[in-house]
This record gives sequence, structure tokens and C-alpha cells, in this order.
Amino acid sequence: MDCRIKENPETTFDLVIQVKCQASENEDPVVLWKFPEDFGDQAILQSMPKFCFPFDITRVTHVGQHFTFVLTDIESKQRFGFCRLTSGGKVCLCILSYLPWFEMYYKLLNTLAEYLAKEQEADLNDLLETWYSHSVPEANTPISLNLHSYFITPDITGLPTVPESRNLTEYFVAVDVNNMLQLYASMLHERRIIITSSKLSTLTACVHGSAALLYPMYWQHIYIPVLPPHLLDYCCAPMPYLIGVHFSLMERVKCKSLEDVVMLNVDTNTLETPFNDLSNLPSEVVSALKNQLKKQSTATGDGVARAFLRAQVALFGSYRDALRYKPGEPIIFCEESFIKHRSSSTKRFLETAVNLQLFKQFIEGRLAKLNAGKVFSDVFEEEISSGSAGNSRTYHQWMHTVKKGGTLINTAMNKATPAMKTAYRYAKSHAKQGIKEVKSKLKHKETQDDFGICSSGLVQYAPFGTFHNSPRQNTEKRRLAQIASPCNREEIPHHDSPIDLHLRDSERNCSISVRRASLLIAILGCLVVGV
Amino acid sequence: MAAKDYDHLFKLLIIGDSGVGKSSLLLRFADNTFSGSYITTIGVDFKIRTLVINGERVKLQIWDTAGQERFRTITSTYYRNTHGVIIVYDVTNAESFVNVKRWLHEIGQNCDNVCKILVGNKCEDLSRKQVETLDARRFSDQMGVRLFETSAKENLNVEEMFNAITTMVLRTKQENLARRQQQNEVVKINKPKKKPSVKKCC
Repeated sequence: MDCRIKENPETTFDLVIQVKCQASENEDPVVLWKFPEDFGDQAILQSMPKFCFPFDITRVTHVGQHFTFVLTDIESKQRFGFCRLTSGGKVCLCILSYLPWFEMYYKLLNTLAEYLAKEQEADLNDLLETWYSHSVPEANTPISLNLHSYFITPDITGLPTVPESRNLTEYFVAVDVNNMLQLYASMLHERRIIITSSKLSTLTACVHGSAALLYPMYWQHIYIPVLPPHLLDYCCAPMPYLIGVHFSLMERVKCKSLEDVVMLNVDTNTLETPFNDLSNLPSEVVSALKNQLKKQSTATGDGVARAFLRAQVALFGSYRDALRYKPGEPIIFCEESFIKHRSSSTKRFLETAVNLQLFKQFIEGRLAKLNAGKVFSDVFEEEISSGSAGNSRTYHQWMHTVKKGGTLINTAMNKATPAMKTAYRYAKSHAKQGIKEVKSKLKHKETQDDFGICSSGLVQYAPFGTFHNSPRQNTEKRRLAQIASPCNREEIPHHDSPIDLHLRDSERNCSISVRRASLLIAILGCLVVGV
Repeated sequence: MAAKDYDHLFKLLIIGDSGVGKSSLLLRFADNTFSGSYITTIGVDFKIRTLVINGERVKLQIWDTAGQERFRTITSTYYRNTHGVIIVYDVTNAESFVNVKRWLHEIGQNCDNVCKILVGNKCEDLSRKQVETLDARRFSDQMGVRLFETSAKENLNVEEMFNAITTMVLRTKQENLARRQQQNEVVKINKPKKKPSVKKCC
């Protein structure tokens, strides 16, 4: 939902073309060769060649070799054009694919170029035929296309590493730490951002590399890692964008009415911005990130990506604490409590951050998974849980809550009659099937208040975590204590769910605790699994 | 550089689910229909038209992006640099009105300085109409925005709608300008009385 990579693309790639550029910009580049021969999408066939030469062809020849442009389809999904320029930037070989497998496709481009250079067209077609008809393989699958082409499919769910990830490596090498931080901050304000460089590979690597550091969030707006000359007017867009422009075209861009744009020149390592975005980020997060990035040990492996991931965790990791659940209703996110209970600088930042499209989409993505009862985990959730970052206490406190719930169930089980055990088994089996069903079957009459008042710390919401240093914590403790011990008769509501039929008489006192606990487990189970 | 061929440049956004006819409305209206469409290649497109309103030349850029329906909420960062928003639904598709209602609500809450207009397109097809004019009118009145029912296909009301939003944007600009001038005058009058304040804290 929030990610802009297409899920389950049908083919490993859509098209390969070899294109030759003309002497002037007004003439369209000529397609010398293409695969598959019968490729029918005329719109793509017309636009793609122009993206292969995204620089002033009359002025420059040395622009580097590999780069990747992006086409965005009508559903806003990204398709990658992996390119290899040769003959002084006059000929380009390009593979179009929905798979963001940069290194693998760059390698394949080299192999293809070799075949083309040696005019071994039969071998070339065989190789492409094999790969084209191959079903899209899972991550870490060894693929052997022929004797000379062997690779392992990348795992894009992990953090990018240096030097394996070309995008991140080029970005980290080319841009100094201060500018990386500035750019990160501007992206976290959804600015209009232009990156420029005279080397296309560096340019597109910096765009892809910097955007990837927003993980687990994704840039939701206009995303054009390299803009061809005929589309320069698009830099006038009033909406947020992340656009790469080859340096030879920058003069033309600058004379348009751009207004407030953040501009990073990678070659000179200078960033111009009319905003104070970096100083709007909480200073403790920025200084921790800066220190981490300047450490020698960060430079290799996933150090850089992890440093940014930790910053993301420090800024947004407490989203879990702001999830609210009311039986019979979908889980919701409470913006107010997410912003509350934080240091004043963090609070100030979060007040604006909750209005970012990338944050909104992130929350919607998480809620969609949770409400579908999906079990999921990723490096972001793991990093929150590992507790090495800013709000390390969250997970421990949270686990504590779960454990209490667990203890409570054991206690309840020991004391319970067979009817009680049936109820527990019932709830447990439904928890496994997904919380959706459980929720609809376990309706509480006591929790029929509106969601609108979630900020006032009402006890009927089962929070996913506990609040720290807040009055809420006490309420929470009391509530847990209440659940753990036989509860008061006055608090017992009327029940009409199937479970209650078993429980109506003798076990009434314990029914709430069991159901609350099983609900907690059902929901928490979704997040805990994989931790 | 060549002299400016306009007195005002306004950037507008057109939003609405895919299939409601945003591109057709733009094509009907725009000068530069020959320039092709890029919504399927880079996910964004814009059209230009210059209008003359009360003797002033107003150049409009109207911007459209792909896949807006994936946003339950379109946040204020999207509207930050625009002068006006054209919010379009399809009168033959009730679903398309649902998103529009929420978005319009949110623009009203988060970006009160942006001009907005509500547009029900495809009004040529009365037999398939699902969003009643009366309901839409009630909602637009409640939100304090103008409602236009248009047909890009039959070229009904399109020109009127674009004229209306342009006039609105132009008026807002002129009002803001007037207010600022007034404030400046007030400041000028007040200035001699005011002594520069001395900062006491360090």
C-alpha cells in the first residue's frame, strides 16, 4: 500500500532496447534493436528512448556508464530503466523492469553489451528468452541463465549494505555527512528537491540511495531520479518532488520559476535551501545520527542504513504506543497520543510529521496489515524491539505487559472449570485465525464510547504498549492488576457472545480477564511473531 | 529573457479518483494539447492556458498526479505551493464522491488559504447519474465551496468552471495584496511612535 514497488510483477523484465541518440535534441533517438520483438506498448516505446539520454547531448559526452531512470505508471508504481551508456554517450542499452534489482541488472547489461559487441545475436536472444520466460524468482535464489551468466537474486527486504549496494555506496562516498543529514531532513519535510551531478551514475544513485534511507517509509510524491531534457518544465511542479537533473541541464532549470526548492549539487557537495529543516529535527536524534555516520566502523556493511534506521526508530518507533484497539472495531492510530509524552523538540517535529504523506501512508500500511490479522515483521520493527535506539524502553515495557497478560492467563486457567478452558481454547484458536474474527465475536458492551476521545486516556482501549512517565502508566498498571485478580462484580457487563453462553454463571468473574487477555495476545501476536 | 506574456501565474491542482475525467477536463481547457501527456510515464502531468480576466492576463498551470486514490488522506504538504484546487468526482460513480468529500474536508481544515472548487463531471449521462445534484449542492454549501456539474465530453460548463476558479484565485491574490498594503501603511503610521524594543534576554 505505502511502498511504490509493484508487488508480484508478471515478468522479470518488460523490454530491452538498444538506442542511438541523434545529433540534436529535436530528433528522437533511434531504436537499433529491441527484445521482445513484438513489444506492443507504443507509449513506452516512444518515451523510453528519450529517458536513455537525459543530458544535453550537444554539449557533453562523458556522463558515466550505468544509471537508472524511473517511469511511474498510472497506479503510481515505479518501473526501473537500467541503462548502460557507451560510444561516448551516444548508444544506450536499457532494460525496463518492475524489479528494483540494480546490481543484478547492471551485471546483466554488461553481459548483453558483450554479446552485442561481438555480434552474437543468437546467444543474446537465447539468454534474454530464458530470463524473460523465467517466473519471477524469490529472494536469494541462484539463477543460471547460461554458462556465463550466474547470479543470486537480491533480498530487498534487508538493509542496503556498503559496498554491495551501488546506490548507497555512491551516495555515501559522494555526499558528505552534513549534506546527507540536510537532505534527509528536507525529505522529512516533503520539500521540492533537485539533485544534480555531472555523472549520471552518481546522480541516480544519490536519488535512489537517499530515498531508500527513509525506510520504513517511502517517498510518496513525484519521483524522477533523472529528468530528460524535454521534461524540464516539470521542475515547476508545485507539489513535493524528488528530481535528479544532469548538470548540463541545470542552467535551463534555474531560469524557470522554481520558487522554494532545495538543491543539492553532488559534484561540489553544496546544498542550497531556503528552509531550516535540519534544525527542526530533534537535536538528539540528529547528533546521534551524525556521530554514528562519522564513525569508521559505520562505513561498511549495513552501518549507514542502520544509522538512519535508528533515527527513524527514534522519531517514529513509538507509533506502536499510539495504536488503539476497541473490541469489535478496527485498530486505529491515535495521533494525539503519538505526539504527546515526548520531549518538546521531538513533539514540535512530530506535530508537523504527522501531516507528511509518507507518514500517513506508513501508518495506513501498518494498520491495514494489523487489521487483516497479518503476521508481519521487518527490520524496522526488529530495530524497535532490539532496543538499541532512542526509545529502547518501549519494547521491554511492552513485553512486560504481554508477559503479565500471559501470567494472568495461566492463573486463570489453573482456577478455571472446564467451561473456562473451553472459552480459552475458543479464544486462542480464533486468535490464530486472525484477530478480525475474534474481534467480531468478542463484543464488549462496556466499550461503546466513541473513538474521538482516545486522548483522554480511557481504560477501555487496550494499548499496544505502555506510556512512559505518564499518568496513563498508573491507570495501565491498575488495569492489569484488575485483570489479574478476580474483578469486581459491578464492572461486569452483560454479554451475548458465544463465549458468554459458556460462562454466564459461575465463571463470570473471570470471563473479562480471559477475553481481554486473549484479545491482547491475539493482537500483540501479530507484532511479536518474528521478534 | 523574453518579456513575460502574463500578469499573473497561478498553479492549480486537479484531484480526484482515476476515471473521473480529470485528463479530459484538462484537454478541453488547455492551450497546449499538442504537448502530449506524461501521466503514464512520470506519474505527473500539467496543462497550460492563459485567460484574460478583468483585463489581466492570467497564466494557469494545472497539475495532475497519478494514483491519488491510494491516499485516504492527501496531506497539506501536497497543497503547500498551490493557489487553488479543483476537486473532481464522477456523477455516475458514487464511490468517487466519497474520496472527494473527505479530501475537501481535510483541505478545509489544513489549508484554509487555498481556493477550491467542487466539480461533478460526466453530467451528460443523466440515466446513470448516482450523485444527485441536490446532495452535492448541500455538501458544497456546507463546505462553503462552489459546485459545478460539467461534461468534458459535451464541453458543458467546463469553460465556466475554470473561469470561476481563476477569478477566485485572482481575487484572493488581490485581496491579500490589498491587505498587506494596508498593513504596511498602518506600520508606517505607527512606526514613529514605536521605539525599537530592547532585547533583555541574552
